[in-house]
Amino acid sequence: MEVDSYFRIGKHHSMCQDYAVAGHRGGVPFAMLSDGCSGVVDPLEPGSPHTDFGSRFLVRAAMQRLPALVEGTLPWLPIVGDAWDMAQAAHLPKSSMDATLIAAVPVPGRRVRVCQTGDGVVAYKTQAGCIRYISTSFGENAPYYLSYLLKPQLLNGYFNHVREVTLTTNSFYPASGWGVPTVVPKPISDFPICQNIVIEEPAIVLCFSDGIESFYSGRQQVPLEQVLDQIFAFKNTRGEFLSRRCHSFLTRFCPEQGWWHADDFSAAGICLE
Amino acid sequence: MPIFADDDAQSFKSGSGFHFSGVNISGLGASEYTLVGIACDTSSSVAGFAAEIEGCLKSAIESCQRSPRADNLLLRYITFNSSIYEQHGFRPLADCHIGKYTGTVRCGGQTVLRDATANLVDSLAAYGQSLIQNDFIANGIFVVITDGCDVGSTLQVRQVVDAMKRAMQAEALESIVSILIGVNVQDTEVSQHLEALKRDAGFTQYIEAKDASPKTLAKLADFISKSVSSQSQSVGSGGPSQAIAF
Repeated sequence: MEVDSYFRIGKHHSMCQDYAVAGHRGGVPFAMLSDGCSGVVDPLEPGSPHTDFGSRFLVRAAMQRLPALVEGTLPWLPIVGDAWDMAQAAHLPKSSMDATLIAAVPVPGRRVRVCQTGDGVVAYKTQAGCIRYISTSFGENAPYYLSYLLKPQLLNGYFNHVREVTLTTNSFYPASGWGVPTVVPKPISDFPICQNIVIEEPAIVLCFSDGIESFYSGRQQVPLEQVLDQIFAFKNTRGEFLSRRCHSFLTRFCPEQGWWHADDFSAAGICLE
Repeated sequence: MPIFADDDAQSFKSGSGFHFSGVNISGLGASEYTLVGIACDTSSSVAGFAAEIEGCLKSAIESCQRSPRADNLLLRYITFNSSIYEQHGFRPLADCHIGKYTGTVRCGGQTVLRDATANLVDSLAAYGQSLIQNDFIANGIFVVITDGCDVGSTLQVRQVVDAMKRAMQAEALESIVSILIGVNVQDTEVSQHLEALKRDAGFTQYIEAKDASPKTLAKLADFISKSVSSQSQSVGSGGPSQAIAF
C-alpha cells in the first residue's frame, strides 16, 4: 500500500492555503488535505486570514485521531478543538480555522474510508479500471467549515445564508468512457457536517480540494473528467506516485496544453494496488 | 561483464546506439533523481596508483551514501582502457556495496577517454529521458577520472560535443554537470591535452591533481561527493548547481 500527497499554489493566489500530507502514524496509513478559505465568510471578522496555518493545524489535529477515523466515529469536535489550541498558541483568530478537511484511511476488508467536511472531490479507480468521482459543493461559495463548531452563534446565520449542497457524480468505464455527470442538490438541513464515504475494494482513492475544479484552458473551464483522466494516468504507483503524476501534469502537460488552475490545488491519496 | 549481479536491471539503448543498463524504472519510488556517472581510467599507466584510485572511488561513494540525498541518487560506474566496461548500470546507492568495487580498477591497455565520455553522457541522457517520460524529475552529473591523453578512441571530440548537445537538447535532464579529473598529471603536455578536451568537449569543470598521494585522492573523493550532493540539491530548481572548488 502506498500513500502520498501533493499541493501547489493557484494562479489567483498570493499564498497557498491548501495543505496535504500522507504517511503512517501509529501503524495507520493516512492521506489528508485541507483547503483554507480565502474569501469573506465571517461577518464579524471580514476575510479569513492565516488559513494557511489553520489548514495545517486541522490536518495535524486529525493525524492525532486516526484510530477514531478508521472506526468511523468522526471526532470532529476534538479535532477542531485541538487545532484551535494550536491556533491560539500562535495568536491566530478563529477565522484562521476556516478550512475544509478531507481524510482518507484504509479500513479492514480492503476498503477505504473518506471523511470530508466542506467542498472537495473524492475520486477512485476500481480494480477493473473504472473511475468514479463525487464532487461536493456548498451553495453561495460558502462551505461548512469545522470552525463553525467553535462559533455556534454564527451557525443560524450560516444556515439562513446557505440552503443547499450540490453533489455531482460521474463514472468512467473503460469500454464506454465517461458518462454524463449527475447533479443532485440537497438541502443543507439534511446534510451531515461530515460525509463518511466508504469505498469498497478500490485500487486507488484520491481526495482533492476544489482547486481541481478550477482548471481553465484559456478562459474556458476544463471539465473535471478531463483533469481526472490526466491525474489517474499513473506511470507507476510506487512510492511518491501522486507527487510525480501531479507534478508532471502541472509542470509539463498543463503548460503544453495551455491549461492553468486559478485556485490552490491539493491532492492526497491511497493506492492499494 | 558487470561485477554486480543485477536482477532488477533493464537494458537501455543510448542516442548513439550502444546499450547500457539501469534499474527498472517501474520500481523507483522517489519523485526526483540525480543520475551520477563515474568513468574511471584503467589504462596501464594507472597501474602505479590503481589501489589509491579505487580507494578514492569507494570513499566518494560511501560519502554519497551518507548524504541526506542518498535515496535520490542513481549511480552508473564504468571503467575504460582499450575498451569500455560497465561495472554496473544506474542503480540506487543502497545497492552499491562498497566491497564489490574492490578489483574494479584492473589496469592494462590504452585510454579511450573520448569514447568513455560519450558513453557516459549518452547513458545519462537516455536514462534521464526514460525517467522524465515516467513522470520523474531528473538531473545529472558525471565524472571522468583519467591520468593521461586519449589513446585509441574511435570517437573524435566533435562526437563527444554532439553527445553533450544531445543530452542538453533531449529535454531529458534539467541540467548536467560534467567534471573531468586529471590525476597524477605531471606532464605539461598531458595537462594541456586535458584542458583542451575540457574546453572543446564542453566539460563544466576540469580538476587537476598533480599527484596521486592518499591525501590528494582523499581530497578528490571529498570533492566528488560534494559535487554530487550539490547537484542533487539543485534538482527541481531548473538549473545546475554551483561548481565546488577543489
